[in-house]
Amino acid sequence: MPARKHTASRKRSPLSSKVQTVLGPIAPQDLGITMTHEHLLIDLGCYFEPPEGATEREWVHAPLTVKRRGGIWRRGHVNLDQMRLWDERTAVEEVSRYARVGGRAIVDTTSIGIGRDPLALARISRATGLNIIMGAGHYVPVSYPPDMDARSEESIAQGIVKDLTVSVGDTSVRAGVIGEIGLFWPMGDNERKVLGASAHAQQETGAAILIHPGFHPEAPLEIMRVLTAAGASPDRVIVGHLDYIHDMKAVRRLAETGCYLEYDTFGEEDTSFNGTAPQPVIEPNDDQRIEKLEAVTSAGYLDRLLVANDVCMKAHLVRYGGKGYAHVLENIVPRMRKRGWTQQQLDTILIHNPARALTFA
Amino acid sequence: MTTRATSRRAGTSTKKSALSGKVQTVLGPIEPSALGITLMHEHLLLDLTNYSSVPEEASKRFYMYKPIAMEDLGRHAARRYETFVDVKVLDEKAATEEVLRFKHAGGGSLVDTTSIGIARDPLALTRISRATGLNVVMGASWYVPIFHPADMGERTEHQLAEQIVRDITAGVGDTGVKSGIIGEVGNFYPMSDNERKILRASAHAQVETGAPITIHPGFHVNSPIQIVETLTKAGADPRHVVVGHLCSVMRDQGALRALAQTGVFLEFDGFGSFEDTSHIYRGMTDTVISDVQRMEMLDFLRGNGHLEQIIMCHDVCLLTHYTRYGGRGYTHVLDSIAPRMRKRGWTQQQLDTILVGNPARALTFA
Repeated sequence: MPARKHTASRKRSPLSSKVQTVLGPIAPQDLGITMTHEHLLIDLGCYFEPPEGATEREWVHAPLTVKRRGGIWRRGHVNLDQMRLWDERTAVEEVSRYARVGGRAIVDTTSIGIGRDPLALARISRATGLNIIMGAGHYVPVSYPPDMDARSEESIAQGIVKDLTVSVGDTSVRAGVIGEIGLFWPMGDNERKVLGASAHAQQETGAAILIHPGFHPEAPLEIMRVLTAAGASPDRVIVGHLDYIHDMKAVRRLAETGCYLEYDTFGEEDTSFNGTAPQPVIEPNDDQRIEKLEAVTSAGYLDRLLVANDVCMKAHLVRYGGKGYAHVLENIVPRMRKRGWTQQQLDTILIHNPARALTFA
Repeated sequence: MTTRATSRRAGTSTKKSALSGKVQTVLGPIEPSALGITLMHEHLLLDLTNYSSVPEEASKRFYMYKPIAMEDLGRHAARRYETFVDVKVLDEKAATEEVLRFKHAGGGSLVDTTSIGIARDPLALTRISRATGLNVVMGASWYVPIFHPADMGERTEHQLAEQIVRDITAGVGDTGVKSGIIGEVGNFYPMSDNERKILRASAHAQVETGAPITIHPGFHVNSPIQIVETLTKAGADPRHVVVGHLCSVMRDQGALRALAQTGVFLEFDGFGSFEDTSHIYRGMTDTVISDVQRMEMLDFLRGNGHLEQIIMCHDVCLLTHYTRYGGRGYTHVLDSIAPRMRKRGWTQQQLDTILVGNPARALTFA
């Protein structure tokens, strides 16, 4: 791995200082307000946990209706309908709400294994006028292809580089970010391999890496160690889902590496989700998320903060009773203003940080 | 600080009421041991219209009369009370079906804390009780000031106490249905003269009848202790007072402990119904905490010797709390919270204490 170090001084990529959307490269200043972690279309069926009891099995294939809404988060990994956003028309309607309240850009962090759909993203971008940035690389181990063990770090890196510089398959649509790279805790060899490949692809292309860490306070730091050892630039890495890290000392140590700190599950306030998992994550609410943003800002890391709603399940969509892609702009931003955030600070988080993070080195 | 030692004041000792040692349901008195799992703060039917206000903007007014739809649930949570629909829980058949789920989940009883001003309906409660087989305990006294009758300023403390006593001993109006608890007695913060008057009247009615009192405090950390002091000075026994909505008032462990020291029942009644924080910046003064934070507070109280004062329930009070409108209904504590608490190390005995034992003690007439 260290042998690659010398290649870090790559030739300047043609993408350098551009942001690459599914419709082509644009200037960073054309991005506008950006949510850096959303899913327009996704299939999280990889998380399915078959229940034993008959009445719970009845939930498996049931469509999400209003009567099931109250029980759906307890069955977040049981009900298949809940785990699948694959209706393109619904996606257009939902994300249009975000465009109507001033949103301009979205990173669709759907990576390989959970239904990444380049042509659909291009259509949604044209239909809504939104800048859409597509992801690359692999999601969590349960979504890996069966032959993942046999794949080499080099071949994975080549796949990512091709997605960024040539096209995903024969679609001619290119990824604009490496991620979300999905990891569990503790990490296995395959996850370390994917991280190494992501770092190499970054060196080759200048793209940012976006991380879905395991839900353990030590996970993000360990990930940063693996990435930087493989040659990634820490200030070109976005660590997501920090809402779930409640130890602010750990967050501070992470911030010191120079990475972007992403609080991306705004609107997720039903704590029944995962409540019965063997090691339940402690679900924060939006109040605690805002408090965390304030803690990070007071520590001097405002220019590293990113926010999003991580819409990834049906109950997140407005038409299924959720808050949708517009929640941060509609509900969180006014609330932050009331707590004393200035427009300049808000612009930093919503516009300038995403533009900087997504610009190819 | 009020302490247990000062709780019973000389001259207020009541003659032993005929109800002493019993719980009074809408179908008559029963033994406390017959209650089973009991939700201490719910509403089967109610009308919270006075909380609603008409927004200025036209696009928001659109939602004032629009029937509840799944696509509006996120909005209703964020803009609570910008509707005249969500606040009217008036369909008896729907209430019956919703609460029957609690019965089937193992529930035995619930307290409908609907007090005067928010559409208390004694006969409907008897019908729902018969239809479901659940024990239903009805409330008395008055809800918060914006729901008071127009002449509340002129009514005397004595008149108010007499009416509460009548509701408990003779029945509400000509229905023959009797209240089994005084409350929820509604307060704002700071308190006005009318609220103090109602609190004192409620205390007097407790002295007279031996009935428990249940409180809706103002949404300020100082409100509960102030209310308990007002009640105790007027002769109430703090050990027979339930202070509700603590999850909307108390984020401060010190204040919570101070309140616990008074001996009152500590009610965490927003489980499942009030997890959404997005309405709170719109001029609302209540804090909203998650079920995780609620359980952390219960852990804290258990760890500090206050297990026997803990009460938990849902305060179902909006249409969107019903499962048919996307809510988690009357079964969330049994379905979702109890299993999570077991995982946090709560024993079955401890859960029985807060779901069965504490409610039975709270509801038994002195």
